[in-house]
This record gives sequence, structure tokens and C-alpha cells, in this order.
Amino acid sequence: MHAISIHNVTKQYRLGRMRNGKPVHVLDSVSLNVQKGEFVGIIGPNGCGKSTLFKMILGLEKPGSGEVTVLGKKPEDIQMGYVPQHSSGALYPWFTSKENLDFAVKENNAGTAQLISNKIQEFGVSMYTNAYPYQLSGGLKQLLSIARATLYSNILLLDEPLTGLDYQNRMAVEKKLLDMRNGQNTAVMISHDIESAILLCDRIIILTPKPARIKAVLAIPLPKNRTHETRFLPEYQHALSNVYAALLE
Amino acid sequence: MKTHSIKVRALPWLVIGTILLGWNLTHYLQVFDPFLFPSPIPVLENFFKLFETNHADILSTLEKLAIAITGGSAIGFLIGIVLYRFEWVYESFSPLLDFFRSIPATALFPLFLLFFGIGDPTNIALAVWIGALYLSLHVSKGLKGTSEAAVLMAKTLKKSEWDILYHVRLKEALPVIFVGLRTATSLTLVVLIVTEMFVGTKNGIGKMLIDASYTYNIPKLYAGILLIGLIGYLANSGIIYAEKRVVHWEGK
Repeated sequence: MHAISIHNVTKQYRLGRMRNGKPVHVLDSVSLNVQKGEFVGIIGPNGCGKSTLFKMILGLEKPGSGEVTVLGKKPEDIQMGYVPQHSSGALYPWFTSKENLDFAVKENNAGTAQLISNKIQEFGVSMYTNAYPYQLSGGLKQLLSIARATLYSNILLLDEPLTGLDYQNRMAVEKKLLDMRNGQNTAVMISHDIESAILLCDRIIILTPKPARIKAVLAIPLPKNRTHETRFLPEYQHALSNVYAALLE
Repeated sequence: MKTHSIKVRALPWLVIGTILLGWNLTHYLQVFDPFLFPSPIPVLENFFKLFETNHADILSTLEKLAIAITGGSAIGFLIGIVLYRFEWVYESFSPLLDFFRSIPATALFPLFLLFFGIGDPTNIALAVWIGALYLSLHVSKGLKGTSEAAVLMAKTLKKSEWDILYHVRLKEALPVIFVGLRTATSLTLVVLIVTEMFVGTKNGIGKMLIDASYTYNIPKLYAGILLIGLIGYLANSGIIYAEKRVVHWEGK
């Protein structure tokens, strides 16, 4: 069974406020399967439908036609870990870091309290449990966002997890995501950062401009366990060239 | 930074001092009839005397203000939630609410007098009416203006509609709600003072002002006006203080 299965999905919106607004095709016959334990990157131009695809996987929107399943079930019946772009206020500013994690669990009890405590330790953010998001750097906020997502699911949807971060914060978040490539976690990642996407992902999906179709599917033949130093491997450079070549076609 | 802070804090006092000096000079130069434009000194003397001679009036207005703000806020808040929650209610009643907001509250005084009788109940009812009318608008607008990203995140966490309303929409709407609260409080005070000037009121600052004008006690009239301004300023400051504590994330 695939972790995520997208079969022949099409979607269109109507622009403007009136019902007879101009229809715009956003996704056109997109099919994609994500295996358990796989990290898949999605690259495409702005407005091509990447976020729409995410919303369908999350069960927040229905495809116009086609089908989306997660672990063989309807997406709305499965909870997935969603990490939005950090600039879009992923963490609620009225909650402390810990309260943001508390909000993510269904029930607050001794068990979930221990789970949250372990997660805070695992992500190295113990010092910041009582801090509010506006008191944290972009990297810390993103780590907390990822920690929250992994509280309740091994299937993660990451929307540009490294965008807007400075070099140091990017390295910290990237390292955490590399550590999560342990076969237990499955991830689909939207990224404009091609270099990081290649380092983090097993496959890269390239979408065309609207209406988005799959232009290319590129396997990234790098070792399963990766570090920042994997960038220095010739295979990495080769993969980078292949992706750029596909983008430029 | 400390010097900057002291300078900034001193500025309002500097302005007040300048105004008092200018006021005194204007009186001294008899720019206006000195009987109608007294010096600030007798005005300030009367101001402090008010707390001794008219403490019943002051307490009466403060009590009515507290009741009206509490009642108006509670009712306005509930109406705002209903307007947000049920689109058909919003579409149906929104024009009517805009219609009533356009009518000066004091023009409704005779009508409220018929319903609630002479005295404090009418004053309070009218003040509650205006407060609720304005706050409901801000509550519903604030809730409708919640960011899609915040709600989307809550939906991915499989939160119930109630959780999303309470923990996300309401929290995001708080800055707008507090603005509404300040507006509603100011209008509540205005309506209360004005209706206290009408026939039938036994106690209140408004009644005190009318009595002072009838007896040509001009310094007391000015002192009463200063007192109303001070009450409004303190009420507003209290709300701003509460807002800074509750909405600690705003602007950050």
C-alpha cells in the first residue's frame, strides 16, 4: 500500500466573486504515488497548483476528478503532519512553544505530556518551551513546527520548509530533516530550493506551469543516510545537473 | 534609551502645562468674556472640590458606567458571535444594525423612557444599547477577518469548529475587538452623561453639569467637563493596558 496515492487528479477554480467567473485549470491529470519511508520533493512555478495539491492530500479540498488516498483511506480520515511556510504564521503567537504542541494533541493527559516532553528534547528546543513564537528565530519556529507535525503522524507535508531562513537556521532545520530520513517518516516537500530538495529527497517531481502536469520525475540516487557533506559527492552534482536540465527543457 | 523614555513620558505633561499656561494667559488677556472663560485656577479648585461635594453624583455615574459597559460588552459580544457564526443572520440583520447605528442614541431617549421609565434604568439601557451595537460590529468583523493560514493549520490538526472559533478565530480577532471595546466605552460614557442631563435623573455627573449651568456656576461646569474627560481617559487607558497584557503578540 502506498503512503500517499494521487490518481489522475484534476482541479479547476472559478476566478472572481461571481459564480460565472472564468474557470482556471490548476491541476491536470496529476498522478503520483509516495511510498512509505520515502521523501518526495515537488518543484514548480508559483501558482501552478502545488498548494492545491497539498490541500487535497490533507483532505481540505476535493479534486475535481480523480482520487487521492492516504494509507488506502480518504485523506479526511487520516491525520497528517502539515508544516506550512514559516512566514505564514505556522505557530500561534498567543500560545507558548509548549502550548502550541499541546494544542496539536487530541487529549492532554500524562501520556501526551510525556510525548510532548520527549519531542521537545528530541528537537533540542527545551530552553524555549515558555517562549512565544515572536521571541524565536525563524529556524527555531520551523523546528517547533516540524516537532508539532511529528507528534501525531509519520506522514509529513512540508511547504517550503527552508524558505526565508538565514544560512545558520537553514542548516539547523536541514539537519533535522536529514535525521528524519530514517525510514519511519514519509514526507512530501514543496520547495523552491533545488539544492536542498535534492539533498533531502529520494525523488523530485517537476510540475509544469498552470494547469500543472507532471513534467518530469527524477530519482535521486544518493545514499539513504545523508548529511550536509553528501553535497560534496559527485552523485549529488550529477543529480543537480539532471534537475536543472529537466527544468530548462 | 532611559533618557529617551523619560523625555517621551514628560511630553504629555509638557503639553498639559503649556495648555494651562495658554489658558491662563487667554483669561488674563480677556480674549473671551472672563465670566464664561474662567481662569484654570478656580476650575481646578472646583475640580478637586467635586470629590467632596458631588461624590454621590460621581459614584452614580461610575456605577452606571460599569453596569452599561459590562452589559453592553456581553450583549455586543454574543451578537457579534451569532452574526459571524450564521451567515443568514448576518445577511438578514446587518442592514438593520447599520440603520440603528446611524440613529443618534440620544434621539431614542424618549422611546427608552416609555419602555424603562424615568431614572437610571433608561440611562443604563440606552448606554447598553449603543455599546452593544458598536461592539457587535467589531466582534463579527474581527472573526470574519481571521487569516486562512491560521484556520487551515487548525483544520489539519483536526480541531472542532468550537476549538477553531475559541482558540484561533477569537484570539486573532482580539485586536479588532479591543478597538471596538474602546469605541463602545467612549460612546457609552457620552450617552450616559447626555441622558443624565435629561429630566428625571436624580444623580450623575450629567445632572451635576446641567445644575451648574442653570446656576451659572461656570468654574464648576468646566470642572465637570474635565472630570468626564478624565473618566473617559482612565477607562480608555484601562482597556489599552488590558489589551497589552492579553494581546501580547500584536505588532511583534
